[in-house]
Amino acid sequence: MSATPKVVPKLAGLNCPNCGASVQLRTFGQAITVICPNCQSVLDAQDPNVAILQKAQSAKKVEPLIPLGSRGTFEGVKFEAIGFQVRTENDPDDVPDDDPDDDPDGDPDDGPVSWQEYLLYNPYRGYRYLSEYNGHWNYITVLHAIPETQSESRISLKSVNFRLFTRNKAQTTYVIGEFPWTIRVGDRADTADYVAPPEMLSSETTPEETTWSQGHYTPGPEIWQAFGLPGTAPPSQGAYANQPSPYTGVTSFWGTALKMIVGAFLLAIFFQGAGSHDVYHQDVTLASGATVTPEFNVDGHQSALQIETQNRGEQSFYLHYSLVDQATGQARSFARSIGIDDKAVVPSVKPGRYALRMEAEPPGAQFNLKVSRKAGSFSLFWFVAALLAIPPILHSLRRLNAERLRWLGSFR
Amino acid sequence: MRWSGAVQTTCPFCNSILVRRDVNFELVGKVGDLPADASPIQIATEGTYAGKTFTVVGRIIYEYENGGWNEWHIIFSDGVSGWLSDAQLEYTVSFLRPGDDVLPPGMVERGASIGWDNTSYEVTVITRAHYKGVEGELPFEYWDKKEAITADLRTADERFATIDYSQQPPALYMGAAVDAAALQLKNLREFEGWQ
Repeated sequence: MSATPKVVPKLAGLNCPNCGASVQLRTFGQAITVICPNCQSVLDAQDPNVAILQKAQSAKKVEPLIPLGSRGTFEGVKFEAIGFQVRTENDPDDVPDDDPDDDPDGDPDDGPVSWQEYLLYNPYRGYRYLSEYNGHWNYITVLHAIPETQSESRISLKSVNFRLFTRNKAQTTYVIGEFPWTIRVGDRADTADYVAPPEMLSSETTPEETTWSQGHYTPGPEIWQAFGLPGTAPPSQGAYANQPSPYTGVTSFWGTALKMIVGAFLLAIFFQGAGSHDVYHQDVTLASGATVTPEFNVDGHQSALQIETQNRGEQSFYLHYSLVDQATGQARSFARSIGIDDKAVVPSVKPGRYALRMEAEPPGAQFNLKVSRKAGSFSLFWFVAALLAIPPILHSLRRLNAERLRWLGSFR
Repeated sequence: MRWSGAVQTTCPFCNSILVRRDVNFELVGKVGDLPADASPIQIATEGTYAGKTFTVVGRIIYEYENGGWNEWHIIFSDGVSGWLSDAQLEYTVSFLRPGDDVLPPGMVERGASIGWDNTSYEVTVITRAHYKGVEGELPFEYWDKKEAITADLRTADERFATIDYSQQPPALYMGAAVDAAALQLKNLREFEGWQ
């Protein structure tokens, strides 16, 4: 029968010609290569006689963090982990690295860098990848488009610019599971990574083909949740190429600070006219000439002093004030015309002991005097504004440092 | 027969390949059993592309060194014939572009770029494949083909083109890469253990 069967049965699997172990197949005949889970021989999954492509791998067994066969949900679609490989950076210029001065991150103990890749499969939606390095994960989709080259170190995709992070040679150093292409330990590819956190565009070039993929930085706990894995994801170490900076919201930080500073400014204005506390009050009758109040204390920060008078007589009068700083003898003099009542504000009065001298014209004025301290002052406002600016300044500095760490990992 | 324009069809019961000669079909050979295949698509699968619905009526199965792929022959509701390619579940939809003046002379090379419709197409891969089977209705005779060399081209905006060097002059197919979800495929095969 040539007609396609409506239901695709799961293939029973095959037996490893090297060790005889049974090898499970998960992708309904799409597998080109499958690795024996027992002896790790690389087998031709399409060959009815199951040719051995590569005898048992010499490398030690590596247990994937996500067991093969696990299903995880990404963007609402279930994918099954079917393949796993360890890839190792293989830069001939870099190995052996005897010169610690040569080492970009200053760590003389660095061996070659290795990372792990998972192949995910859904029979309707196709293949996805996960990569993991030091607890940093990427969810990877093959691109349908070729990014546009803007310059040697810059490419763009759909108007988003990506910056070259690193060029490498990657070599497969360990592989298990099944793959819809031929894979062997020792396979090499030239790779290039371009970042625009949290996205990363990567190219892989083999003699046959260049493929492009897009990785989306995904925190370990989200991977654990997607697969329902027990325990917790290993914590990430260091900074990763397309890890979003934990200090991203610099502009919003500054925005918040700016809003608060404006708020403090408005409060300062508000309190300039309202909230205040009494410093001194007296009912005054200036039968003749001048009078001086007893000394009174002005506390708090440098701020305005308000002098209120309420005319108890029938006639309006002129009042000459002198606010005398008792410590220095300095006087600040001014005059007011008093009708029914009056408010005079003496700006920027330092805390200290003061007395108020008053002289009425014509004499015989009767009034109530009230001296009060303004609560919100502009000097306090500047102080508050400076305090509010500290978090965004620190945040900006941390972000700069985080970017420095990110690019330290870029070996260019 | 689902499509009156078919030039070749395969009998689903006896595997005979029939080719249209005037008004009659002539038996030209038999296909072997189709290889085990995990495409979710089958004859009579329906889908949507560029706002039009299509039905799958036939296919060509290709195999190359590193895997294989299906070219599903699709017929749109307005009668237009196109191809839905399923290469390891990466899909493209393309249409034959008539005219032999659009192709550069000789074989293209990987990495070369060709301008069509003010868009730069880059040759991403050249594949040397052989055909492994046919099924259903096709717009041309394909029963005697052996080897096919194709060049795939892609753009910055997910457009797609393929040059088929298995015929003279070579044929150009143009279209776009599409997400499985965007095709809204119906009447798909079922997979044991999946929904």
